[in-house]
Amino acid sequence: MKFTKKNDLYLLLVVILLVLVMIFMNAYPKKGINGAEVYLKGEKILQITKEGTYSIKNDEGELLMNVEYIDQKVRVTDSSCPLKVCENTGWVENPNQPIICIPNEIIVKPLGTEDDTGIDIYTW
Amino acid sequence: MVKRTKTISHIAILTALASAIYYVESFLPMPVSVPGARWGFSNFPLLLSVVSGISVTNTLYIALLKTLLGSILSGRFLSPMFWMGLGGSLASALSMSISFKFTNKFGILGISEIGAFFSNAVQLIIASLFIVKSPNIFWYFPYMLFFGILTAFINATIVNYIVRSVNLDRFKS
Repeated sequence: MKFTKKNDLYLLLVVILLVLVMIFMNAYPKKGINGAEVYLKGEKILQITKEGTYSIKNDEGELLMNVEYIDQKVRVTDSSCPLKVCENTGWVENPNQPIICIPNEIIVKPLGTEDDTGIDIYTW
Repeated sequence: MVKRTKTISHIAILTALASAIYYVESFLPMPVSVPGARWGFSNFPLLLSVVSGISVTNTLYIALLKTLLGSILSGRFLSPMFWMGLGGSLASALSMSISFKFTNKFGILGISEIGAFFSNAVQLIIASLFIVKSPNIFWYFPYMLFFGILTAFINATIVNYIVRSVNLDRFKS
């Protein structure tokens, strides 16, 4: 059994190319956000449009996490999950990047500026 | 009968190895914050079992057992992370076996990369369908895939050294 064959390198190149293309697509729309939506197990439980700190609770009233929305950025603090991946995501200002907490089954989706057809072009 | 005993002990050794690594791995910090992601070093016994030529069913057994035992040890049995890990390891076992048995085109590194790719893809599909129920989680796919490539390379290197120094033919069933 050989360690590498020629096809392995092609496979590696294809996957790396795929990664680069997807990272580029992720980073593309550089716009601020104007709110956020919080989904618990696929159901929308909160819509954030004003700045401030919001507590997310489950049906039993247990505190799951706090969501902060300040200055067109959103982040998660004080989460009850064990690995704190959602807190370590930090401030999110890209409307495509969701903050996801797998153990609590929560997704915080930032809302992009609604008019995505050229406000930036006019202001420039 | 002797052959059967050999197969059973082979599965047992690889399962023990994989579930121990699965447990220790949960203490390792991830360098980036990607939801639900782990390093995935416990896939190298799986790769070893594929490369040593045991049957697809036995490889699937190892994948199932390592997720069960590892998640019971690390206390996340039946949690969302467990379902993602189960789907991922079963998918990677299946895809690695298929790419080893039915095509003779890939080396150890290529098989490892295929396993990592399908593991990550199936994990995200499970998460987007059943856990957070939103396709937005695919935003994190390229970062998971990038770490999958790194881990697959490390796993393939480990397996390459084992294959060179251990006579695996005697385990064949």
